[in-house]
Amino acid sequence: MQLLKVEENGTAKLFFLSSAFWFALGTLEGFTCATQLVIPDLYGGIAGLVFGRVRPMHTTTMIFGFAGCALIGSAHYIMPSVLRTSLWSERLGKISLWLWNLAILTGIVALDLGYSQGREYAEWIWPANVLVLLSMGLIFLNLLQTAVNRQEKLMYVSTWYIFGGLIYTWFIYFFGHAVFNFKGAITGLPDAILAWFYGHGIVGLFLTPLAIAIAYYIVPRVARSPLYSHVLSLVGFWTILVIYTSIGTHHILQTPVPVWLKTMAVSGSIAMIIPVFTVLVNLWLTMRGRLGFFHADIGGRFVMAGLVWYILTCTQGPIQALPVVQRVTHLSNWVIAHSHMGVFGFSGMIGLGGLYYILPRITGKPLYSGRLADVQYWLLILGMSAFFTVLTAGGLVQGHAWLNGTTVYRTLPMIHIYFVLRAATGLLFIGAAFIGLYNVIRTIRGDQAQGERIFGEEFQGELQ
Amino acid sequence: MIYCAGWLFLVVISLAVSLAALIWAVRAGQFSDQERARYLPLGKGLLSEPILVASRAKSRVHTVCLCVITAMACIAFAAAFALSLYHR
Repeated sequence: MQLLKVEENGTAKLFFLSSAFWFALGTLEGFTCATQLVIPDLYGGIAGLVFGRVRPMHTTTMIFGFAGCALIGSAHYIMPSVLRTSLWSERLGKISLWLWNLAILTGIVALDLGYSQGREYAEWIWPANVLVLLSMGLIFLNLLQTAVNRQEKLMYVSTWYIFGGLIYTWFIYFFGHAVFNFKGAITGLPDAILAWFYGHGIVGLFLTPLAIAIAYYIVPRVARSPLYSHVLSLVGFWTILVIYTSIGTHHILQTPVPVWLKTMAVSGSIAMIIPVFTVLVNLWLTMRGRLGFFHADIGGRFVMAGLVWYILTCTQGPIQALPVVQRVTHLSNWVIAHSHMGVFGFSGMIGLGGLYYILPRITGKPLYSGRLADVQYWLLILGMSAFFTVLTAGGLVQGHAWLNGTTVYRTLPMIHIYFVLRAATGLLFIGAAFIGLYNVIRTIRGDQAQGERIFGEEFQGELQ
Repeated sequence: MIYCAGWLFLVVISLAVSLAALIWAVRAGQFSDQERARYLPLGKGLLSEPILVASRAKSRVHTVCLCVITAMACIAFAAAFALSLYHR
C-alpha cells in the first residue's frame, strides 16, 4: 500500500511534509481569528468561522500539526543517527504518522462543527484524544525498539529528551484531556488544576524536550564541534523532569487553588532557570567562535533564532509567574505574546531548523531553494518580533487600564490599534508558511530552483 | 485536599517513571563515559560535507537582529515590572 510504503527515512520525510501543510492551515486559522478581533462581525456569524471555534483549531493545529510534526519527524531521524542504527520499523512509523494526522484532522473538524471539551488547549474530543494516545504509543514503541537494537551503547542526551518528552506527554495528555472520562471534562477546580497541568505541560513536556533534543543534535553538527559538556546536558534533562511537572498552577493563581500548590508552582517556575540555563550555556559554549557556520546554514540559523526566543520565553515565564507581576499581565494580550513566543518562536523555529537541516540529508539533494528558505526565515523573524512587540504593548495597556478600574468596554477601543497591527503581522506568517510548504514539496519531489546560489563560502581556516 | 488527588497521582507517577529510568541508566552505565558521549552527534557522513561560513556582513546583520529582539524583550520585561510596582 502506497500510504505505508517502506523507504529509508520515509516517516521523517512525511512528518515534515505534514508539518509544512499544518503550518499553512494553522496560520490561516490564526489570521481568521485575528481579523475578527478587528472587525467582530466580519464573517456574518458563519458558525464554522466564529472566534470560539477557530481559535482552538488554530492553537491545536500549530501545536500538534505544525510544531509537533516537525519535532516528531526530526526525532525519527535523530534517534537512529545518534544510536548508530536504523529506525526499527518504517511501516510502524508510517502507521503512527497517519494516525497522528488523522487525530489532528478529527480534532479540528470536530471543533469546527462545535464539538469541544471547552478547556483551553485541551479542546479535542474523546475520539481524537484516543488517536493521539495511540499514535504516540506507537511512536514510542518504534523509537524504544530502535534504542533496544542500537549499535552505540551510550545514549546521547537527545535520546533522553525524546523519550522523556514522549512518556510525559502521554501521561499528561491522558489526564489533561480527561480521557478516562468518556464525556470529556470533569468539573470544578480539579478540572482547572488538571487542565493547566496539561496546558503548561504540553509546552514544557512535549514541545520543549523535543525541541531541545533537536538543538542538542544540530548545534554540534553545524559547529563541527563536540558538545561542550554531556554531563551538564544530563543535569538539565533530569532537573526539567523533576521541576516542570508541578508548575502549571501558576496559570490559575487568581483562583481558590490551595496556597501550597500556588507556592509550589511559583517556586518551581523560578527554579526552571536551572534546566533552561544548562541548555543555553552548554549550547552557547559549543557554538562559541563558530557563529559564521550557523549564519551560513539555514537549519542552524533557525535553531539559533529558536534558542534566542527560548532564553526570552524562559526569562519571561518566571517573571510573570510572580503574583505581583501577574496582576498586571494575566488574562491580557501579554500572555498571548508569551505563548506565541514559546510555541512558535522557540519550538516552532527549532522544528523548522530540524526540518531544513534534515530534509536535504534524507533526500540526498539540496533544498529546492535556499533563497526561499532564507525569505521564509526573515519573514518569520520579522513577524514574530512584531507580533511579540504589539501584543506585549497591548497587554500592558490592558493590564494598566483594568488596575485603574477602567471597564472592559472602555478598554477595548484603547487596544483596537494593537489588534489591527496583530492581524497585519499575521500576513507575514501566512506568507512564510506557504513559501515553506512550496519549498518542502518541491524539495521532496527532488526539484532544484534555477539560478540558486549557495549562502556562504567554503571555510578555509583550520578547525580547532 | 481531596480534589487534588488526580493531580498528585499524576505527579507521583511522573516521578516514579523518572526514578525508574534513572536507576536503569545508572545500572546500564549510561553515565560512565561522558567524554565520548560529547562526540556522538558528529557521526553519519559529517566529514564528507563541505563547511560553509557566512560573510562577515551577513553574520553581522543576523547577530544585530537577534540582539535587537533581545533588547526589545528586556524593555518589555522592565515595563511589566515598572507597572507592577506602580499598581502595588
